[in-house]
Parts: sequence; structure tokens; C-alpha cells
Amino acid sequence: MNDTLVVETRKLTKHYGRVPVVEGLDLTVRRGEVYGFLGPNGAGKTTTLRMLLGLIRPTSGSATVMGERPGDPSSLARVGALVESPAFYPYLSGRDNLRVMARYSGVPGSRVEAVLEQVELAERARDRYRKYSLGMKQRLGVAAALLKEPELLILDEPTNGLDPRGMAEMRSLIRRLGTGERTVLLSSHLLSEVEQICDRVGVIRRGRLVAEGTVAELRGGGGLLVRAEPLEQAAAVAARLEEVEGVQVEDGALRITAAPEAAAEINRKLVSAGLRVSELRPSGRTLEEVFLQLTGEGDAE
Amino acid sequence: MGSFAAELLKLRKRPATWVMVAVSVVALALFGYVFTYIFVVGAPEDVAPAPEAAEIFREYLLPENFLINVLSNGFVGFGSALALVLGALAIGSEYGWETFRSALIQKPGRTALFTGKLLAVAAVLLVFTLAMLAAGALSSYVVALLEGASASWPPAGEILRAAGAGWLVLATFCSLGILLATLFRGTALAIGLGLVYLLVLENLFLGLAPQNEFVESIGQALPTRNALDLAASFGELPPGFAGPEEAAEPARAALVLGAYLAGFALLSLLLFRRRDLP
Repeated sequence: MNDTLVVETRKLTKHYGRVPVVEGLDLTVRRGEVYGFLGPNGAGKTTTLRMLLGLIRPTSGSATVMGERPGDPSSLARVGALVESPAFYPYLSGRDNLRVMARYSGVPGSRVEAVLEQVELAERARDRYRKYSLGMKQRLGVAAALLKEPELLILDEPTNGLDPRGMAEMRSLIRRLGTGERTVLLSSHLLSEVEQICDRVGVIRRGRLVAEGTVAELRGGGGLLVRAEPLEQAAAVAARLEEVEGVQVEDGALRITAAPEAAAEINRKLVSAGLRVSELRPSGRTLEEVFLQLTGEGDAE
Repeated sequence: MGSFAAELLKLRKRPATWVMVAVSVVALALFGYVFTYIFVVGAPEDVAPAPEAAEIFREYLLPENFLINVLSNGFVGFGSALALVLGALAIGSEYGWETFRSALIQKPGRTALFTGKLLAVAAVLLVFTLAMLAAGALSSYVVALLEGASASWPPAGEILRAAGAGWLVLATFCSLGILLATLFRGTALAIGLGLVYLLVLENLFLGLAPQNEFVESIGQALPTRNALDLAASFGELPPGFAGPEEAAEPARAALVLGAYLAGFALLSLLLFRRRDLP
């Protein structure tokens, strides 16, 4: 990963009539990272991605993708994307659909077989698209996105509608694709997906970016939460330990500032001091807690 | 060029394209030749046409008149409606399947993609045109064999000119279908309104034209009237297609159709470029 920006938006805004869908969005995606674009349904994720691909025009603000304006053929030549559900010609086979897409993008026909292998769809490539399962359709969508060997891959809810096995396969595929210099911009409302795959995360709420950072940054700094009795004695013992930088009593528990790897040693010393320790865990919030707090809604999965 | 190749592959592999061509060929053979021939030679006495009328119908079925018969019955008669449907399907289906999104993401740019589509549809219309002319020629040849008449064909130059005229007629109505599908971003409304316009409104203007000068002046500017005027340059129009006593000059009629074609295509392109993709 380096600091070169492959996607940058400034005050990007989209209104449908009087309804604001994206509002003054400032987003940056750096080369080589897997960036998670997180938000509840209807937060404006897909609208943002559609603007980045030139499918819809912003009401105001600006954006650059690979240094060019969105939708410019020279930027699209370096971008692969799967936006919303995959959309292909139902009467064509998977292979013919990719041949059509290859002709649009000007890549040699030989790439078709390569990407079919890459998404493990070669055996069903002769079947018509209308006969494909949802998982196969998603994989064909990813194959089309890979035709140009893109530097930037934009995937919008790629695990939507997949069964658990399909989701695991898709996550594994995305991880493989995100290695090396390739940048992946992944939109999702599935927190576990983002937590497992992404280097950096942006959270969008009602069209506005409300937080951006690594998953660890969003979850908060290190530390331990300890429940032990008697509480006052436990606080005094903990404060004297060399592994501990600070102790606070909060809601009937100790919030200890210490490296997470010191947890076992701290536990041993508290028990040795005759204290009854009933819980000891990292005190950072889960991504779900962060998400619910940031989005202020209970509609996240 | 890439967009043209992609569009051609899609149209070539799309069953609906070949169903249209097959329907146009079969309809021309049936309505342009078979039913007319049965009416002329096999109708019961009480409904049979008068001998003079039967002779006129018979002449239209022979090879020497196949161009005017095919252009009027085939290209203007129902080819125009089928071409409108083909144009509406070529664009409208992409909105329905949301495949414009997938295609545009690949890189081509809106102008290149849409131009490629227009050119590919134009190429398919050429196949459409040749198939209808071949079906007309074959049907008229069979009638000549049945009648024991000599097969006297129009000159090759005239056949070539008729192919150009037939293509222009189809392309004009096809571009109307394309415009409507782009405007309504779908197939159903485009085909419905297009056919109502073509089969009801235009025919209303043609039918009422002799009764009112104003209606006649509007009717003369409409695509169907100009298509018939162009067809009339290949011979006298068959009964049922006759328009004003003097048809417009073929060059003028072709220019009017060309203007409609260019106008519809350009307007469609501008709409496609400007609007968000749903």
C-alpha cells in the first residue's frame, strides 16, 4: 500500500429531486489497499459507486478515479467493477457474455478463458446465463470485472444473496484479488465481511462519511476490561503491576490500559493476590458497536 | 469498432432477431403472394374479383413487378412495424436487463457504445432487407411457374436501388423504435406506443387526407406516406396502398426518410448521453 490516491471525492453530492442521497462526501482510497465502504441499506453506498463509474452524474462536487474524471474511458480501462446485482444477457452463455464484455473493453478474447478459470466457472461457461444460480452470476460478474486486469476493483455487495458457502468462497476470492498492487473498493453492510477483508474502512450514514480509518482505529485503542472482586482491592493491585499503565473503575469493572498480550500475566498476578477474576477481555468495542453508534440505527446486520 | 463487434455478436446470437426476420419473410410470402394468389385463382364465384381486377392482382405477383409488391406489401406494410419492434427491443431490453450498466463499466464510453449499437442494427436491417427481397423474388418465381408465365426480372440496378429504398424504410421505423425505447427506458411502452402511432395515427392521416387539405399536408410529411412515395418509384402502387395522384419525387421522399432516420438516431444518442442510467 502507498499514499497514491486512486479514488478521491470532494464534496460529492447527489440529489434525486429534493431528496439528498449523497451529501458532501469526501472519500479517499489509496493504491494497494482493500477499502471497506460500510453503511446501512440506503445510506448512499451504491449511488456513490455509480457516480465513481460515470453511470450517474453528481449534482455537485467532484471526483477523480485513477486520476481522471469518473466514466472517462481512460480511467475505466484500469477499473473493474461489479455494481449492484450482476447484469448480463440471459440468452447468451457465460462465455459469450464475457466475449461481449471483452469486445467492449478492447481486451483480447484469450482473457475470457483466463478469467473463467480464475472464478472457477470454466466448466459451466457454455450454459446460458439465465440458467445460472445466484452464486454463479456473482462469479460471472467478478469475472467480467477482472477482464481488464484492473488496478482498481470496485465491488458492491458482492456476497449479497449468497449462501454461507458462497459467501466464504467470495470472501476468499476477494482476499486473493486484493493482494499485490491491486486496490479493492468493497461496499458492504456486512460487518464481519468488512472486518475480515478490509485494511481501511469508511462508514457512510445518510450520504455522509461519518468515520474513516483502520478497523483497529475505529474499534478504539488497546486495553483490557477486568471484572474481579473485591473491586477496590483489585484496582489497587492492578495499579501496582508493571504491565499496567493505568486503571479506571467503570460500571463495576476495571478498564486497564495495557498491551493485550499482557492479559495472561495480569490475570495470573490478580489471582495470585487472592482476587476472584470472573472476566478479562480486550476492552475495545466491536465493529458492530462502533457501526451502530456511528450510524445511529439498529438496522445493521 | 469494439462496440460494433460486441453489438453484432449480441444481435447475431439473439433469437428475437432471427424470429423477426423469419416472421417478415413468412408474412411477405403469405400476405404478399399466397393469399392473393388463392384469392385470384381459387376464390368461389360469389366472392371472386372481376376478371379485370383479378388480372391486376395477378400482374403484381409476377417477377417483373416483385419490387413494387415487396416494397409496398413487405417493407411499408408490415416490415415497418417489425423494424420498429426490433429497434425498441435492441435498446429497451438493455434497460430491462440493466446491461447498459455492465457494458459501460467495461470502458467504451456512451457515444461509442450507442453508435456501435446503431451500426450493428443497421447491419441486421441489411440482412432483413435482403431476406425480404429474396422471399419476394422466390414467391414471384413460383407464381410465374404456376401461371406458365415467363420470369422477366427487373434490371439489376433497380433491384439494388430497391434494396437501398427498402433498407431506408426499415431503418427509419427502426430508429423510431430506438428513440421511443431510449425515451421510456424500456421495451413495453415503446413498442405499444410505437405501434399505435404507426398503425393507427399514421393510417388515420393517410385515410383522412383526401377529405381535408390540412390533414393531407401533415400526412405528406409523415414517414409512411414518404415510404409509399419512395416505393411508387418502382411502379404503380398496388390497390389499397394508393395515395395522392402524384407521388412525391423519390429523391425528396428518400431525403425526408433520411432526415427522420438521422433525427431519431441523433435524438436517441443525445438522450442516452445526457441521462443517468437507472
